[in-house]
Amino acid sequence: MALEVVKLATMSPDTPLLERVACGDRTAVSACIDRYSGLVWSLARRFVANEADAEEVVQEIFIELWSTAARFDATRASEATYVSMIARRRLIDHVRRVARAPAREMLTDVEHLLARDGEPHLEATSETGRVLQAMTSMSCEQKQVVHMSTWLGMSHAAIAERTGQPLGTVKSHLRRGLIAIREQLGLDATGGSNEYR
Amino acid sequence: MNTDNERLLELLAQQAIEPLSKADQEELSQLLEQVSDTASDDLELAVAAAWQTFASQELMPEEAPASLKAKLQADADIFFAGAASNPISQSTDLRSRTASVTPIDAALYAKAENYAKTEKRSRGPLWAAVSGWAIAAGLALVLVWGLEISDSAGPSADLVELLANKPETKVYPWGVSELEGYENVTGNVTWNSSLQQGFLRLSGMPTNDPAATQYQLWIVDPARDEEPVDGGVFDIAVDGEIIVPIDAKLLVSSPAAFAITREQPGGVVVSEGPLLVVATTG
Repeated sequence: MALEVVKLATMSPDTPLLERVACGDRTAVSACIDRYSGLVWSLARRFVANEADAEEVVQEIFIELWSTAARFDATRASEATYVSMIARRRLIDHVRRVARAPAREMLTDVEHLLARDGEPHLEATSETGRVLQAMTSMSCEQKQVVHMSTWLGMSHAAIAERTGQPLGTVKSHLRRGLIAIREQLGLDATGGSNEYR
Repeated sequence: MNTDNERLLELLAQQAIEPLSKADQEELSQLLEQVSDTASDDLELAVAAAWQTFASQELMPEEAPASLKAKLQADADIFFAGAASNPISQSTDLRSRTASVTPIDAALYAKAENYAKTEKRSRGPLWAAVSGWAIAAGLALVLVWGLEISDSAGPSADLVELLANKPETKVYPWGVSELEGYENVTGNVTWNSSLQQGFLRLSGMPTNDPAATQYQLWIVDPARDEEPVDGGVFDIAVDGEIIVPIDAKLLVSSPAAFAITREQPGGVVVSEGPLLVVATTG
């Protein structure tokens, strides 16, 4: 605990909230709730039909956020993306638990979706532009797979069935798509080098 | 990009999207041992960034209800109060335990123990032992629900009272152990996944010399990982009933079993058992 107190005392006001939370800064905890509860709530309402269930999942997401705040690394992702990662895990888990397929927007026109503008929508993160940039290099089929997989949470098999693409092609599209996004974000899934240590 | 690397990326990409099969999970574990600890997070961050991008395009912003914000603040207050309290404490003047326990299938217990002794894999023997056992043994268990309130003072008493008032709190009795010295251990595990807090209630647990060995709690949660979650080390210094707050090092969402082992002082990262006492949730 003493180490956390020292860390907290030496932090600047610009230190990310989650780093402050990890050191036990209670004002940062409240600020985190203020800043991200709307984002998480909006996501929960998208995936959880029942409002009481949505509230429960949001509570679980924030508990996990407090538990894992020390793992946040501002050099690898924005706070909003980290929060989204935690939220996504919990929401997909919930969807799988209740065995309700996320079918509402399965046939969304991805091109139209990505080009849409002028409507109020969730605040974009610093990574949003880079993700969109990565998607400009993808084929329509690849974008569709990435959308169905990451956003709608569909399994590879379900995507293959829905789109009529072979399972191997779906996996390949997704793998290449995620690698392209990862590269645009400056992340490296093999730990800083493409070669094994 | 070499073949192994390509396969690693494929498995990481798949894991970021959907649960892996057992065989794929084992293959991924082997490949990940050759790369950095942050590797698996990076593709998940890429997925999250894509997910957040779609969300920013599709969703209308909604303010969280004030009542929900208040709940989040209350949860945070409890969470950080728990984190600041001493993870190990004991109390001997609690009300006597009233939970009744149905015997666990001894053959299944022996099978789990034998697995823990013979399987010397570098990762996850305890999880595999307990999870397989827990699923089967859980069928033979009758769970006892309800809480007793401690009348002692201190962090343990606060925790007992706090959890007693939460509807999500669950209580799982310890099974009857076949191991010599642990046959008379009774009590239960109280756990609240929403709050990520809980405590062990133990009676009849042999005392230990902290300089030689310490007890270590493990929480099996197949929903999160093949590895059991370290629930903290603790000592038994006195006879009688004690309360031990659980100090889960990682998030536990759907515990399948709680198990105690005896380890070197400070505990271990991967236990080889034996499992002294076990409580299942199934």
